[in-house]
Amino acid sequence: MTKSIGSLEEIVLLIVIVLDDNAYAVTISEEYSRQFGKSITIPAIHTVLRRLEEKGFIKSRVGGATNLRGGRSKRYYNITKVGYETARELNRQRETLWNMAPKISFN
Amino acid sequence: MKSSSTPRPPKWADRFLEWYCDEELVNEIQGDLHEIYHLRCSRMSQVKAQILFIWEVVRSFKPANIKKSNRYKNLNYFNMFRNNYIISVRNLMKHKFYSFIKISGLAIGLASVVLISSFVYNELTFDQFHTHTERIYRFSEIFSNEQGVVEEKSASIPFPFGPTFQADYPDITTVRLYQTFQKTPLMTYRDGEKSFYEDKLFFTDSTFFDIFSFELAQGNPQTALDNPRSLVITESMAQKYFGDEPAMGKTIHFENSLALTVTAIAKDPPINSHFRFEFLSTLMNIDEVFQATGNRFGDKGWYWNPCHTYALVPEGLSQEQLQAYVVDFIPKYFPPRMAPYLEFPLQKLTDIHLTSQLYQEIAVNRDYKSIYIAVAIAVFIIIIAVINFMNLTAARSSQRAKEVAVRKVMGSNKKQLLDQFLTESLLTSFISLILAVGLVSMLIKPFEQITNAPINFTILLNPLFIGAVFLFTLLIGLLAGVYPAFLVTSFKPVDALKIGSVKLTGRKSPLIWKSLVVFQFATSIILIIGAIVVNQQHQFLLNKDMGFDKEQVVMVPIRGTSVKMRSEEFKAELLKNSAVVSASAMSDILGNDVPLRPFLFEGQQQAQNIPGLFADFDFIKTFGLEILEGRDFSKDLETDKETFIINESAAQLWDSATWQGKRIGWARKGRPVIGVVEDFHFADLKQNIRPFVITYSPGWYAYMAIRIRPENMFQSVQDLENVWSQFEPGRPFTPFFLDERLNNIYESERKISQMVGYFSVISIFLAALGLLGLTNYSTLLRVKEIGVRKVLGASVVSILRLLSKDYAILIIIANLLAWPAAWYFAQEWLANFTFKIDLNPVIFIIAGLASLLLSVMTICFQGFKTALLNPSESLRNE
Repeated sequence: MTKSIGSLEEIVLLIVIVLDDNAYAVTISEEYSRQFGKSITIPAIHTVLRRLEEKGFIKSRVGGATNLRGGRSKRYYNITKVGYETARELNRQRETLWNMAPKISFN
Repeated sequence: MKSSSTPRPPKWADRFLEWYCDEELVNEIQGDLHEIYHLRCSRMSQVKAQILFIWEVVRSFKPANIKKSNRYKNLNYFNMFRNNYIISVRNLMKHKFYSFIKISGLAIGLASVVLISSFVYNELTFDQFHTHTERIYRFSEIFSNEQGVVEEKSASIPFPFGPTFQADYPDITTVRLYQTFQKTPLMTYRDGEKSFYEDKLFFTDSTFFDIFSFELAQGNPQTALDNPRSLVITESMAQKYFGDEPAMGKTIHFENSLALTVTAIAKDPPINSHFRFEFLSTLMNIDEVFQATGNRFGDKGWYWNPCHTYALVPEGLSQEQLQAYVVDFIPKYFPPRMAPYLEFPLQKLTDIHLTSQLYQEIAVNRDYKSIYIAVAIAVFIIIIAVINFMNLTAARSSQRAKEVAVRKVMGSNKKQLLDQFLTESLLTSFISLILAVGLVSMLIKPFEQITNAPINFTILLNPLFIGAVFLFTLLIGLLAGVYPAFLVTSFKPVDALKIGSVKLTGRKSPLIWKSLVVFQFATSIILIIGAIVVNQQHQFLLNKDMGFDKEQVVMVPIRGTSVKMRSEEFKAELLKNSAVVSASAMSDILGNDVPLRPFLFEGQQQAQNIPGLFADFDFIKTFGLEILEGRDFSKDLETDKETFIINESAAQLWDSATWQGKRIGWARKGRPVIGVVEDFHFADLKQNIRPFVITYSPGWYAYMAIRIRPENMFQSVQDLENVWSQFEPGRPFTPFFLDERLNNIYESERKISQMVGYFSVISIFLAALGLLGLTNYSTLLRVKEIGVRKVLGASVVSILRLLSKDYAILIIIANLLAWPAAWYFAQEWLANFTFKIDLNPVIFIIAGLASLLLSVMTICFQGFKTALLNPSESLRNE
């Protein structure tokens, strides 16, 4: 039942949940670099967001304009019910697996 | 945040984004990009932020973001093209007849142009492949007599000239080419038992590869000709003699005596070379070569001129300077008696093929006239074909006025309509191109025959050439589509949808179409007249009485064989066969040419160069010649071996008195003249009859001429071969018929006759096609008129007459225009011949009638259908 989802899409999905009402391309990009130390280009994020929206995991709304953007509006993204459940399910599966894994120490 | 001091992102990138981006999305995307730009500016250098901005603008250039209408335009374009293509194909099939005419016409035109232009290009680029081609010259020799009259212009010069010249002027490299042209040598590979007569064997100097850039597949050009016994052969010859075995080092025997060793294998010489060798050996062998070919009179001195000699000059040396050297050179070495009467004009290597028509050219050269003719023919044909194409496309398009009107009403713009028409005409022209390619491959053999030259495939398959042909087809397609498209798309839809169809060009075709048809027919008529004239002239040359009997004469080459010395014995054996009427040994091929030799006429100071034939006592009899005064040679008189018979023109050289008792000096002895034979054509019909002498000198015999009876000729020739093998068991018997050989002299006329013939057929065919299409169109326009006439009682015949009247006038005009032009060209061409036909006005009338008949047939074929239509059908829409 869960639609297939790539690893970048997964991460972006999580970030959208984390950022709550303040999730748009710029903030997502910033959060990503903060967490992972790498940067992604804005257009790449746009693509991922569009795909996630097509799959129904997130929904978008047009929001406030600021001077920094030269007065242009932003498109905010929020998580949908389906999206949230998908994210939760995926993470749960991952955690289960990780708990089953022996704790190896490499000395 | 601050506003005015905030750095702005790169303007042009921004504008680019605004340009391509979809209006719905541009705000967000641009906003995101600006925001992050500013954030980055505070963290990193502005330059880096700018670079990243630009990069992200580029990365945003995706289909998802692009303006919708642009995107849809692309998609739409693709669909429309597909739609156009489908409609075009349907249209072509619906009007199969028209399509067939258009396509075949253009295909023929394209095929002709392709073949002819490759031919012309080949001819124009002769000898240009040599690296040093600009600095290579050939020496030619002009002999004059004391009166300054030029007696002979030769392409070949004496043996010692080349090396001596090079010794005097060490900067200049010379090379000689010598062929045993008097006798085709036999080349034998003993181990493989392969033995053939080869006429493309040249003896040359070791400087050959220094001057000429012929490629070697194996072997070293520097050393290939150093050894006296070296032999260079071409790849085709290696295949012929040795098959797949390696040829290097193998031995081939020349004339079964001289052993030559293969030292190199050359790539086959390019087609556009004025000489194409198959074997090369060295002149160091020359004495043995003379011996092997039975040439007792091979003269390595300054008299005999059999060597084609070329010079490579260093950079900076002009032709004038070289000529000046030559002028200095002549008196130094040539015998003082000869020197003042000799000139050695230089020829540039690249000029030889198209301008040189000297005596003893290595291969038959062409002249610029044939090139002009070929180009003219190609231009005519392609113009006619293209005109047809355009006319027919235009004619058809007016019938589609309704379709166009509907499209307009449905909202298509001019550009789209144009696209439709262009697609269709481009499609047609490319189908023609494909067909043309097929035609070309089928026509290669006949074309090679006509032009008497192999087709140069390196030119034909050259990507540039192919590209040019492609572009040309494209151009025609565009032109043909544009004209009618503009016509049709520019009127109001309302008019077209009315019941009457659009009178695109009025009831009668406009002047421009009529004049095009006139032009087509005029050029076709010129070509037809030309073909008839050339053919007549050729027939004339073939059939003209040469003054001697040339039929049923078998010529057998005997030089270098035992038969030469035992000619009387051989004849006796031959005559035992009742099929043999008579036979005579002689030195040359009668009716082809008889070489000049110096004869001292009694009373003259100097010997003159006069054509002189050496023959035996049966000569006059064998050829059915008439002795006018004096008597023939007589077998009974031993002294007759030292006498002359001369022809009328020679007798006139003694302007006073008669020839009786006068002597002619030959071989240091004076011999008396015993008789005068009638003037006859001992040389080809391109020359006037000159003074001519005959005497007895068996050492010069080269042929046995055998007259046989007309019955059972095949059997007779077999019998001759049997006698031959009694005398020369080891040698192949290679006879030829004299009349066939003589006819071959007029080969070039025959070729031209064929060429013009073919092309006149093509052009009249195309012109007829054009007329067909045109009449079809205008007849259709007059369907109603014809219907009304029929109702009023006109007969089918009268309607046909009505339809053809218009066009018959056009044809008559075409004829009137064509006749003077054709007359002029024909006169020009015939002026080349010493003996020629008179231009008979009947030719013109025949051509005129033929064209009239053809056109009336064409019109009737078309009009018949319409004339037979039931008036109730044609008047239905009214």
